[in-house]
Amino acid sequence: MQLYLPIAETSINIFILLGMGGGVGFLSGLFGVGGGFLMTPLLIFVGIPPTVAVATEANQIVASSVSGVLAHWRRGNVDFKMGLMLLIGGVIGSTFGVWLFSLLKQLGQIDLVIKLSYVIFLSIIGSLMFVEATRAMLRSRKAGPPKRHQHTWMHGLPFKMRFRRSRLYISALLPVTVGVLVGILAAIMGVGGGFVMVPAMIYLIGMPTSVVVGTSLFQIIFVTANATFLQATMNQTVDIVLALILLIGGVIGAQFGARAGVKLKGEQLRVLLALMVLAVCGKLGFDLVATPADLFTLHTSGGH
Amino acid sequence: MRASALATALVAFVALLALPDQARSQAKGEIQVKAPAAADDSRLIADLSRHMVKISTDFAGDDILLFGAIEGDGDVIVVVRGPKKHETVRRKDRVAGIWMNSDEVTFQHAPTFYAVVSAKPLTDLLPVETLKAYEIGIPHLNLVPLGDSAANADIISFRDALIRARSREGLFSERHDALKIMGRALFRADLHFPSAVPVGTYQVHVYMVQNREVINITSTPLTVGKVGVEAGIYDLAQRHAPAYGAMAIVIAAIAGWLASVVFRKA
Repeated sequence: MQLYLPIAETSINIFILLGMGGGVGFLSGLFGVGGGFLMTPLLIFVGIPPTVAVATEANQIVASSVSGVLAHWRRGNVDFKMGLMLLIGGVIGSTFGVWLFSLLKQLGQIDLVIKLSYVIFLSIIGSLMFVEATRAMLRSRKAGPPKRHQHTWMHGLPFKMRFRRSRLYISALLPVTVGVLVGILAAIMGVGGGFVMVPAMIYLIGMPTSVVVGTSLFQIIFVTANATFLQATMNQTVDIVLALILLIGGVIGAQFGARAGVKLKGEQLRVLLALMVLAVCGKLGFDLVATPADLFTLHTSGGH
Repeated sequence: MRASALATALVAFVALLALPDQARSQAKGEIQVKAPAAADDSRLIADLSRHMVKISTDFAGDDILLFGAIEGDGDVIVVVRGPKKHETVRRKDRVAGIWMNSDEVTFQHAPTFYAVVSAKPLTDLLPVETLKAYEIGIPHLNLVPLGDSAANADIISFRDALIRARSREGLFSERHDALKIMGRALFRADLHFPSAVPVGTYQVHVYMVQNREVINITSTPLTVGKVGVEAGIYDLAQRHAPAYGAMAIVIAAIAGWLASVVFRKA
């Protein structure tokens, strides 16, 4: 069934969109990532203009994150206090990131900067997580759970706070700093930042994997809602019809994803996420090196 | 003395280059062919089955019939021209093993839609100079590079890339079998508009050709626009952007909540 999208200005098969929304929503509920880094290339692939794809994608993630957070919250797996700290950092970071983005744009080659930073970040995060999680899996098979808490210099920082859900007593500066860094990256790369946030919460802050997913989604709601509003007011590129179809698939997928996540162990979840991150990274890296089908690209601007 | 004459000629030449492409093609047309008769001349009449391509929710492309009559022997060429926009074409080059954007050329006022329908190949009907003067046929489009980018030596490959990309989307087309002339008097042509057709005001030009000359031209406007829900949503997004953005967020939040409620009971 073909449907014409008013902002994207093209018609597309509704079932393809529903399927894409469902698939990405499942991964979102499972891993606590928004899924923007998967959905945006998919949308462009089926013929949605890139600017509309990026903006509409943010709108759809609002829905799947709300759906995912509620599912995790019912199981007591959302640390709102931690989420708030990350969010404060995120707002500061993304504001700075937007400024940095326009600076890089003036220097030219922003596309390349985005793609290279994607590849570098994804490969580092993916490999580290894969190695760590595989080791943890092997260890847990042999013996009991390892000692989770190691005391480092980070625990000597001021403004200590108790995060009950995460069973942590750490400085508030730690989540705020993580939020700032992820916020900068998210603004430059044009994504929610879930795939950077989740590993950072696990390895830098030391949160249990079960709480990480819900808390990450909680934080993503606000980041993507802000992005949706900015895109709608500044570029008029949010296609509400496209978002609605994607989110119907997305919210349902997120529910199934959250259920599937409960059945998996933390380290299994991390191995799967690591594999997915590495796969996306491999694809991006390949695209940078492989000869494109057409060396030329078109960019329509004003005039009449 | 001689230097100043040269300078005058140069200024005239630059002025000609700077003219908008449409004005220039008209100027050329008058030089190379006899001035065609007025559009309401009885020797050529043409009209469209509809003057509007309505884009509604189920829009997946549209076909419009162009029909008309000619008096006397002759052939007919139909050209549909869409709204014009600046188009930047970028080329990727390999630097240290990585493909990155290097050169770019911006074409001024490049048509976003361009379709030619005729009964025979264009060069069987008109000489190349005339086709160029009237901008009939994709190879004869007058695509003017902007400013500095005009200096690019490889302009042809950028031009070809623009045409290739447009053709891929079905926005540039040339068909030499879609026009039927019946009994040497009546003609009809099927004009196809794909789903990605840009909105705006189009011009449909009908050229009557005799003995390798254009002897008459008529044109009729065509509007491509959104109607109903599509138009409503588009207007809201453009005119009340903050409200539209807020609405998009609220809808998303409600949908997310609804899904979790439904699944809780299930």
